[in-house]
Order: sequence, then C-alpha cells, then structure tokens
Amino acid sequence: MPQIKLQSSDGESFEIDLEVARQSVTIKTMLEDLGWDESDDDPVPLPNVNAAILKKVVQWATFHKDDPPPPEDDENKEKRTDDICTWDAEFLKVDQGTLFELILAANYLDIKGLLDVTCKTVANMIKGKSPEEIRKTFNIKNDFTPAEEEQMMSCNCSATME
Amino acid sequence: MNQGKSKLKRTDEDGTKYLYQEMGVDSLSSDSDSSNSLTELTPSISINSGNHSVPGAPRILLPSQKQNIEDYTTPSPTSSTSYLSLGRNNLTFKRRLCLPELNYFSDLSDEIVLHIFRWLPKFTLAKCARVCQRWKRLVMDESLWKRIDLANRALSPATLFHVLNRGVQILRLTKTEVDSPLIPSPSVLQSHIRLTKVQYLDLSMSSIPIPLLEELFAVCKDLKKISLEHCELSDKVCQLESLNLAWTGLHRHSVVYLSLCLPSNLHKLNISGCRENITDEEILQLCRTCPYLRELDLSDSTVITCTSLNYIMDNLNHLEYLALSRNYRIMPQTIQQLRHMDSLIAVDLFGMFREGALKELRESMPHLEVNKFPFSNIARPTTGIRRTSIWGLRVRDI
Repeated sequence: MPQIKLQSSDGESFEIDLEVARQSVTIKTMLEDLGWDESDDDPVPLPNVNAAILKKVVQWATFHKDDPPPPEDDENKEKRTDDICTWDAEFLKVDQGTLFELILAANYLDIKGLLDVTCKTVANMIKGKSPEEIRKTFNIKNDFTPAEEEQMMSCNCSATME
Repeated sequence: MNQGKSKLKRTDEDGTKYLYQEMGVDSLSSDSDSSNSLTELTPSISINSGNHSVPGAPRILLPSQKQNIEDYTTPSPTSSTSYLSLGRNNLTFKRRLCLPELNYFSDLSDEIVLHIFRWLPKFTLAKCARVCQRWKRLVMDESLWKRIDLANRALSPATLFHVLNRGVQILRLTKTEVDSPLIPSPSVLQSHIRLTKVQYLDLSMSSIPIPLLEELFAVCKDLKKISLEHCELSDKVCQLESLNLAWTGLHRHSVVYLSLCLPSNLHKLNISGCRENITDEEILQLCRTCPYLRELDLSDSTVITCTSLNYIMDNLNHLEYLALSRNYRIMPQTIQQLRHMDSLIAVDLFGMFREGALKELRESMPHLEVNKFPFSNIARPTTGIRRTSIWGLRVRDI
C-alpha cells in the first residue's frame, strides 16, 4: 500500500495510506495536478489544518476508507439527521471548538462524508431548541434591537390568532 | 410503527405552528445586513478573528482575552436576556455544562452555515431566523425553501404569498384551505408577489378563492406540473405537460374552451368526472389539440359514444394509457377495437363489464392490461406508496 506524507499547519508530518488520503478531493486533485508518484518523499502541505485536527481527520478517514463513494446530493432524499453511525457519533463527542474545526477542515479538504456528518451533528444540536436556547448553546449574541424583537413578537401574536 | 407515526404527527403540528408564526407574517421578509454586529458586540471575538484566515489553526487565548470573555458574560444593566443576567456566579456552573465561550459560528462562512441549515426542517429554520441578524439573513436563502409541504392546513393569502416569495419550486397544498382576503383587491395581492419560481404545484382538493387562484396562475410562469383535482376553477390554464382536472365540475363551455386551448404538447390529461358536459365533439377537438397525449382519463363522461373511441384511435398515436370507466354510452363490444392501437399498454374500464364479459375481453386483447387501477394514476400527483411525494418529488422534511 503506497504511503503519503501530509504536513499540518504547525509542521507535524503524518504518514498515511494513499487510499485514505484520497478521500479528500482537495488532496486527490493536488496529487493529480502535481503528478505525484510513489517515489515522491515531499510532504503535502496542508496550511489550513493543524496537527490535532488533522489527526482526527485521518482517524475518521481511516475508519471510513472502505466506504462506498458518497452519493451525489439527491434533493429527493429525505434530510435525515438521525442516521449517524455509532462510530461517528462516538468520534464526534468532542468540544464545540473541535467540532467546528472539523467542519472547517472537512470543507477545506473537501471530504463530503465528514462534512455531512459534522454538519448533521450541529443540526442536531439546533433541533428542538428555542431561539434563546440556541443562542445559549452556541454563545450567539442576540443582536436584534428591542424594536425588531417586538415586531417579531407582535407578528407572531397576530399570526397565531388567525 | 404506530408510535413512529404519532411522533411524526406531533412534530408536524409543531411545524404547522411555527410555519404560521414565521411565514404568515412580515418578520422574515425584511433583509438587513448584520455582518458587523458580532464584532461590534463581542470585542473578545473580534480580536481573535484576526487569526481566522487559517481555519483549523489552534485557538490560543491570551489571558487578556479570557478576561474579555468573562466580562462579556457578566451581567450588564442594559441586558435583558436571561442568559446574561445569570452573572459571574454562574460562570463556573456554565463551564461545567461545557457551554462554549466563543461563538464558533462566526468562524464559518455563509456557505458552510447553509450546509448545516440544509439538514434542518422548516419549522426549525423559522426558529433559527429569530436567533440573530446573520442567521435571519441566511435562513432567507432560497436554497432552503425549494420544497414545501403545507398540505391540510389553513393559510391566509399573505402566508401563501410569503411561501411563494421564498422561491419555492415544489409546493404541496393538498387539501389546503386559503381564506378569502379580507379586502379583495387584486392589485394589493399582486404587489405581494415579487417573483415566483413554482414548478410543481399540487392543489388537489384545496380550497382557494377563484380570484386568488387566477392571481396565482398569473404569477406562476415556470409551472411544469399542476394538479387541480376537485378545485373550483375558472377558465385559465397554463403551459403544461401534465394536467389533472378530475372532478372539477367544469361547465360545457369550459370543456369546449379547454378542448381548443390546451397546450399541444400535453402528455397527461385527467378530465374524468365531466359527466354530460363533454361530448364526442369535444373529444374530437381534444384529440386534434393534444395529439401527443400519452395518458388520458375520460372516466365518468356519461354521454360520449364509440365515435369518441374512433377519434382517439385515429388521432392519438402515442396513447399508452386510457381510462374510460363508467362511460356507459360506449358499447362494450366496441372496446375490443382498442387492440389495434399499437401504442396502448393499459386501459381502465371499471363498471362497464360483468366479470364473465371482462374475462372474454381480456382474452381478446392479451397484450393490454385491463382494470389495473380502480382510480387511475393519470396526471395525479400522489400515487402508490409514496404518500407524501408529489409526482415522485419529495416535499416533506422527514
């Protein structure tokens, strides 16, 4: 199995199976563009991913290396968020900072499976919450003016009365 | 299974409530740019955001920044939200619950936030719009509102227009009741609608005032498929491939009008239930107007005769599926001629043959399927097991 070296933003090198790395469309394209072959020893620089996150991403990609290629987005498919596999759910039991950094990394590396599952996890954190609870969960500042809030509330009342 | 169903139902009711609250009103319609609001209100984040050009880089807070965050969470006299008024004493408690000290959403691009929002059902999106200015702006993104299921609801015209203004493309309004506007002024209604992208519209068994329906057609320029089964109608019809006008109680003059004016490329037409208001004459005209019909439901047309059958055989060379149930004036013995129609695959003839005669007929036309569907599927949006999809396109979130 050919190996490839990835280098994180903070200079740490990871040697992983080429097949694992190719789940990232970004890396795959980079290798094709560079005409990479097995004799190449230079690490692929990933200036947007630090070592801690890259380690997680590699862990995820290694577990999922034998998955079938992710299907194209089918708008006709139901948008379920309760179908996260147990391993992924366990894998994503991390603090919010790590979860969001994984989203950014999955987006940058273009790993659809990881981006979907991380986004679903955040969606599940939003579901079933009131706006105030959502703000609390994600530490989002309520930046509506009192007038705007009042407008939203009064609109709600008149709508409910309909 | 039952448990699952009742759970679904409950969620759906919640959805109804929030859709009412959020969509029937103006609260979501005004757009305001809020990109600066976060940095304005939370200085600790703005300091840190300088490093964010490198996503995924380790986040190291300087002690001074930590102090800033704590300041931010301490009560301020002007703050009105319950969270902020918890105050410094509760800070340790908050930490124990692993609540974040930073708004990580501010690191995400609009595109990624939309990627998250894409996994949320509509009523959750409506709540998200009340979280902050940025979320409100993103919730309005058209990509999130392409498919909407508002079946079995009572809506105000304003709600309907809000939904249309969201850029919805696939809209299910089965059995939906839309009230008459209090002040029925067409110009006011039209001014509500900026732009309508509806392509697939199911209005089966809905109750919509005729003037409103005409307004609707006037602004739905992109329609590809529509179902109006059991709707009260006027004579306006648009460019379509598939048209379901079953049991609309069309008057004779409307049928004449339709037979002349239907689009020539219509593929599927359900005009069952016209009873005595459609005659052989209109059938001939219809065959000439829509020569490419592949599916045609003429069930319960009580006065058409075998002359119509001849017109159909002579003109509709592409016809695959024909429903003639309960057309008692067509002599059963003439039906056999249909075996000469090369394109025909299935025919529905309910109520026209006794069991023995039907067996005989089947034997005389072995390559034709007879009486497969008691209620034909022709041009109907919801058929078979996919009970909440219309024309095979999903509208429900979950």
